[in-house]
Amino acid sequence: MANANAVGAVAVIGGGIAGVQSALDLANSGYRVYLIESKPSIGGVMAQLDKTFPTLDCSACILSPKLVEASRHPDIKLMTYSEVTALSGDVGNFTLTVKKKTRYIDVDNCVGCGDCLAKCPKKVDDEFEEGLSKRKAIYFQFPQAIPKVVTIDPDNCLMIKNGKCGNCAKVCQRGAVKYDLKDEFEDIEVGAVIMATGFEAFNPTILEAYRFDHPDVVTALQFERYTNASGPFAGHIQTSKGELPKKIAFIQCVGSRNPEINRAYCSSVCCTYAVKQSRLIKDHHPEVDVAIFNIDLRTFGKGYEEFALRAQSDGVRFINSRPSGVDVKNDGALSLRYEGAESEVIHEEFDLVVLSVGLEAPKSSVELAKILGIELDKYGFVKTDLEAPTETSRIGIFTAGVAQGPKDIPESVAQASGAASKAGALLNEARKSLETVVEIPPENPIGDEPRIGVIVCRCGTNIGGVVDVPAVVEYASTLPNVVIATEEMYSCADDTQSRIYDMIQDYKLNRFVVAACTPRTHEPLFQQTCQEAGLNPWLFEFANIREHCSWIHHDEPENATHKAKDLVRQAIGKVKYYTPLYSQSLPLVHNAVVLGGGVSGLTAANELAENGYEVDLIEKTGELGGNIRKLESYKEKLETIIQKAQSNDKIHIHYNSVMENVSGSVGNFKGQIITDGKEAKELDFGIIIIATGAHELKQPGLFGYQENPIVKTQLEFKEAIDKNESGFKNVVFIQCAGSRNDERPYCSRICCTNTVRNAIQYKEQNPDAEIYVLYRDIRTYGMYEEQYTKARELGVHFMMYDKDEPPVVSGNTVAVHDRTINLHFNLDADCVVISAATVAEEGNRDVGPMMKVPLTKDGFFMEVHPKLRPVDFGTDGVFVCGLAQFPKLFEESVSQAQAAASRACTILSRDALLSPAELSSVDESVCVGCGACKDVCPYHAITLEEKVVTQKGLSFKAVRSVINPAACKGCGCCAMSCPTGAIDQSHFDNVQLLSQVKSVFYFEEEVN
Amino acid sequence: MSAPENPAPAGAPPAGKPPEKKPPAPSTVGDVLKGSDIQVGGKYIGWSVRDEVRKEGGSGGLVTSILAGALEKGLVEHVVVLKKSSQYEAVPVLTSDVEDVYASAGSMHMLISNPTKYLRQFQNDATIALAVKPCDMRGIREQQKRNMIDLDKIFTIGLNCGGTMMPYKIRKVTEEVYGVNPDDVRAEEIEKGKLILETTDGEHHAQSIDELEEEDNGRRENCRYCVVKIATNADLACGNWGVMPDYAGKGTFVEVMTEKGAEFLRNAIDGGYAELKVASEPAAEARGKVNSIMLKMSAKTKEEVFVPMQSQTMTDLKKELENCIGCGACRTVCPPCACGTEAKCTAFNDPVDNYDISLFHMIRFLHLMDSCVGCGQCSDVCPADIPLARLYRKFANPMQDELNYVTGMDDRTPPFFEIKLEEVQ
Amino acid sequence: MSEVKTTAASSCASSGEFVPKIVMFCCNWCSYAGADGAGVSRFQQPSNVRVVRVMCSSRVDPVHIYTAFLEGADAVLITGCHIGDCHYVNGNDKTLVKYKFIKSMLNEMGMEDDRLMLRWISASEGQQFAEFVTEMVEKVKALGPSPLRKDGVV
Repeated sequence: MANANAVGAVAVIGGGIAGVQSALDLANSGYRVYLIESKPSIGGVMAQLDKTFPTLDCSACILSPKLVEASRHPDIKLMTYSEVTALSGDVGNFTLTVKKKTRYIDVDNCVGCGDCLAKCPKKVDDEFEEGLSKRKAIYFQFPQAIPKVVTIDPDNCLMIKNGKCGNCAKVCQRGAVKYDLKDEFEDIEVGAVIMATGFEAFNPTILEAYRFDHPDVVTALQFERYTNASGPFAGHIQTSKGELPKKIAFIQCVGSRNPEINRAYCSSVCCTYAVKQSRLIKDHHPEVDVAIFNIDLRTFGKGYEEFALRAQSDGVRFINSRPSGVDVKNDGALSLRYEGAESEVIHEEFDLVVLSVGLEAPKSSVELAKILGIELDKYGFVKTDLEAPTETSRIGIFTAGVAQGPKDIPESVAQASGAASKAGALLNEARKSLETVVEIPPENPIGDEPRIGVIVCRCGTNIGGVVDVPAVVEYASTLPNVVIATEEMYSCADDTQSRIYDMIQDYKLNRFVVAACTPRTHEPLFQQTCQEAGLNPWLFEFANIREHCSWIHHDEPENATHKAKDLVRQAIGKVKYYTPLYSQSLPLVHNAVVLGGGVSGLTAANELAENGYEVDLIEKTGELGGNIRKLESYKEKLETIIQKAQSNDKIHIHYNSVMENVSGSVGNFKGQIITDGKEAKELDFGIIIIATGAHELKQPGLFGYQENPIVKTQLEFKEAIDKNESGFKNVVFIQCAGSRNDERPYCSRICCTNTVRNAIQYKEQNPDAEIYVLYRDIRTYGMYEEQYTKARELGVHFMMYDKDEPPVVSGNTVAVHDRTINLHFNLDADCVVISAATVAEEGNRDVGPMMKVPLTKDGFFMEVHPKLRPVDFGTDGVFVCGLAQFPKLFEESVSQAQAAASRACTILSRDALLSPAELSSVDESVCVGCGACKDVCPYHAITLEEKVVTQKGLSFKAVRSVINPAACKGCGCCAMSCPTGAIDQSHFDNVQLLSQVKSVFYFEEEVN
Repeated sequence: MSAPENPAPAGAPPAGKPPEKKPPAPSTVGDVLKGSDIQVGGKYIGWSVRDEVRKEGGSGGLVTSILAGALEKGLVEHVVVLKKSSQYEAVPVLTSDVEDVYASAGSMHMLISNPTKYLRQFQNDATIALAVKPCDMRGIREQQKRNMIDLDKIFTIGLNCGGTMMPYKIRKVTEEVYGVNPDDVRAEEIEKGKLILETTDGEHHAQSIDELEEEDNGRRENCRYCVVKIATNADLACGNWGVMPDYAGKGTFVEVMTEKGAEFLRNAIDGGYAELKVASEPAAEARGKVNSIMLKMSAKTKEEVFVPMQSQTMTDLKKELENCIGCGACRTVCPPCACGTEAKCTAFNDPVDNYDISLFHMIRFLHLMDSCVGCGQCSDVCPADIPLARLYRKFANPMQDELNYVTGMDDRTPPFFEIKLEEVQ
Repeated sequence: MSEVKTTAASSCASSGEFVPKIVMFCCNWCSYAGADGAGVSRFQQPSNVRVVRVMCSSRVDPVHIYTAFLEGADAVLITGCHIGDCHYVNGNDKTLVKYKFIKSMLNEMGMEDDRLMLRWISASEGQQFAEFVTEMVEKVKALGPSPLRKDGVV
């Protein structure tokens, strides 16, 4: 445990999605965070991806809001282009030494205008584009880089190397380029560290047989850039000759499942990303032949199996064979060598070969682990225990994401939240001790008449080189209500902020417009300046005359100037109707409910309690422990968790209980705990975590289950062998029993791993027993692949069967057709173990509607975003973890339960809930209570309530629409659906938007 | 004045067809039913047990007897009845007096009396029973979908409707085409495609409806392409279609659409207000046949009216709307319109904008694509004689057809309330 | 809600050639970012489009679209995140519902099909954004001024 003088700050090493998630969770629950990234920008590999599976979401769309949020958070200090060089001290009081590599740029002065890039003569391979295109020696890591400052690559800069050039310094109007800057070192004090250093993609050069030297053999990461609309080929898939390939092959397990090169593990993500890429190809070019060569197809995640089936129906070929090599023919054509269904060698030509490269620990991990004093596994991933998947070998140092082992984005994000929760719990005493308190000066009175100030930005030459800025300024100053209009070279620079401050004071401005770049990145800056000058931040408006004008109308300066005037007029048209907005402070109850007393529920409750919050844990049975309660091998681990929960006086366990009649919303839920079907206890709670689990399918007749005495489910078998029951001479495991079929198309994820674990356990207990595993694809992802290897080494027999030809169990015989060798077998069996599907609880159908959260068609809870918000729902304050969300292994449940707790802490740690300022609201005198708004609200923020309405002096009862500010997220769809106009969205209200629309137009006769 | 329940309106088999060889099949089968025999989905023929109601009421007075029974036995607190002011006009009256109900026997079906809009005023305070045309009920259901009317509090008897006529027009036609003094007309009847007026002297005067409508002297235009003729959207769907000659004029065909409908019918039987027998298979078939003939005619008219409109240009539309004085009567009268006095169509409609087509019309066109029930009252009330019903339908037809959505017929969510239109690809 | 029309100090449309005015609604999260992306990558495009930013495409009210047309827009474009990518769960599904209706209505009014378009553009699709703008401007130029355009709009 941390000492009482612990520092309320955490260092997160690694600015990929995992690191960003940890940072956000911690910063949002009262800690200062140092986010340390070795590259010039945060974002990690996810920023390079095109679409993400299984939703085919645009990666940039879903990632960039998180990056922007991290970069703006007052409690997150970004340390990009920086590396940790030393660590001293101990848990609670670490001192990290961070080397801030020089960018040769005065970062405080660089405004990211990019004028320097154009003048740099040196072109080098662009790492972000995986070497497929060129960047300059002075560069942004990628166009949306955060922070938006340039970096000079000293190895390629002619000035730094040879002392000749200096173009960038000459062109920089801010004087930000300084070739003599040196690396700097900074010591930071933190209570805990999270290592989220991610991965490197396997470099396939060493696998010479795959001919990575050929221009049409590419890695999957390169291929991400091929399909990306903003990639080097603008999304047009092409061969090195620039033609659309007719045939594309994906080779799986390149750098994975290969002990010979010390990569025995499965990289977990490659099968599904190959499926994704194949679907992207098929979406654009259905005629292109796509083949995925795999050993087993491992699409084990939520929705992944269905995703692969879709690819299959799109015509993607899945070939169960690992090609032995790629041959380059004399004419340069590529030919794959692989084994066919009849063990014959097939040579097939392809135009493009994509190597599905695996994930490996970054080479720098070894050095970093040494600095941090933590252990790595033999592959360089951070070593953790099963029951503590986020804890390293050193107390106070946590890990998350692929740094700990291969995993996909949702698991990385969940683990990242989990690590945040652990770090937060550790430093609970110091929570909020370093939190930034923003002091807001009093607001100036705004009066009735709009008094608008306008700044038109030149952005160096970015705007000023195309748009006639003085003409725009002059035009703006003629518009009604404009009191002052001026131009600035860089409106985002610090000195300009003070000029804006002065303008607001000197001219008694009550509205402000900046015509510059995009509000998506810069609006908060100007809003803050306005606020400091006593102007409500919502009285500010942006006109985007760079991205939306000068940059895209480069060749028609006259039209660009004309448009810039229009855009300024539009902004003025809107801003004059702005009103001050304020976030509402909403009361919040600081306790939690956890539904379900299995591993997930218990872990979540423990985490919440350790973070300092009261928890009511509701278990429907009389015992804790859930599915693994009866398993001897988990007894010790489970006992520890249960003990922890039972002995913590912040956790109140309700046995034989359910939650009913829940009302309210985040921060203020109300519900009843019904115990033994009668006793009801009213409870107010702030958040709820759903951890209601799932169960093993018990379907009579499934491979003879409950009819044939030798048939057991996996759990039943595990229970038996844990008690050292033996005596089975011939054990046959049947995989996919009730999963991956028409009724349950999903893969139950955990069965393969459990099977190989149990097979090993039984084989070790009974070396003479014959064990057969009948499978469709062995899905021992990640490190579990080692278990699979071990099982085979122990002599467990694996036979692959076809979906359409399942094994038949009759009496003591199992008939199976082994499709790899195309032979029929009748196996003797005195025990048949079916890997029965994991199925959702029926009760979910009641809990879902009660909590206003959706279910998948298979009855599992449907998180709001399968990629980046794996434990959240659209309904704030409700979280999910464990098997209730989807089948998962013990350690995955633990990690996800911690994540749910972490997400909950970001709410519970606040003093009060703050509503967004841009809410929708109802004018009761206009609302007729028709309910058109109610169902369209994705957040269930709208209810119809009977109210006493006063209209024209008469008071009467009537049904009116009511918007809960705690649940509203400000999308405004209710305002659109309202036929009366009673609902409007502040800051985007009808009057403002209509004025903006009308301001687009003006009339010829008025010109003269 | 209305002409609902015309078993063989315009376009029906022409007179002079050879007489049928077999005698017509009987309308009913079996014995008089007990209340407990009545089931949802059942089709019956019934009549009032009261002689005077049978005599005064159209088709055996079943509807009157159900309403009277419901009021007397306390199933509802009020009944809406029509109080005749002349052969051509009537006003709806909300009453709790059963005598008013009996007195209304034989009243015309509510002509354009817009029950939707006044139910919206009263229904929250009381339970109300009323008879409705299909379009009235469609309006009521559209209001219900918008939380304005609580269907649990009202009981509706739907009446078959082949179309309605404007009172002023039928007076004019009586005088000019029939050459009869309108005040001498005692009853009207539609038979074999003819509109027959019976004068006080007992004389029958007949004109072909087809010919009348050619001169626009017949049913209101929207009725001619209306797609709902049997009010299966009400609790009970009543009418005389399917009542074979053996019961003609003496019985009403009733189909039970809801459990509430069954309850009210049982009440009428068990309370001694009405007698019912099971409708025979041929009777039900005959009713369906009339309906399908009517619908075919509507489909034909729909084509005649709307296909030429497809070639209309925006200039034509501007011309249609140019006389609009912005009085807003079309909106006030519109049954599915759920908004109050303020709505987007008025709030953002500023005459100063001087647009070629006002925002008011643009927004109304859009809103009615989702909800127009085709009642035609907008056209009726327009002081500028803009053919609004035709315009609203022109806009509503394509999307409602594409979504296979008939407004006001069931509880289906209005398309505008949907998150996603599964039907739309 | 009437507006005093402001005047422009200069106009580049003095040649008499038809210069379409196009209003485009962009959602904050994907399509506005896509428009930014087009800028970042310098994808050149005609200068006829005026972007109105909303948080979600489902905020775009028919009133806004009609007003744009009645004021003089020759085309109105709505852009949002791809289906499934909505920052607000399902806003774009709702946009699509309303769009279908508005589109059908404008068609019935006699408006040419291309004058109202809905397109999903992600943050990485700067090029698609530029192509969309280019394509629409070409189409609208071929169509000529909108039949709802006010006289005298520049």
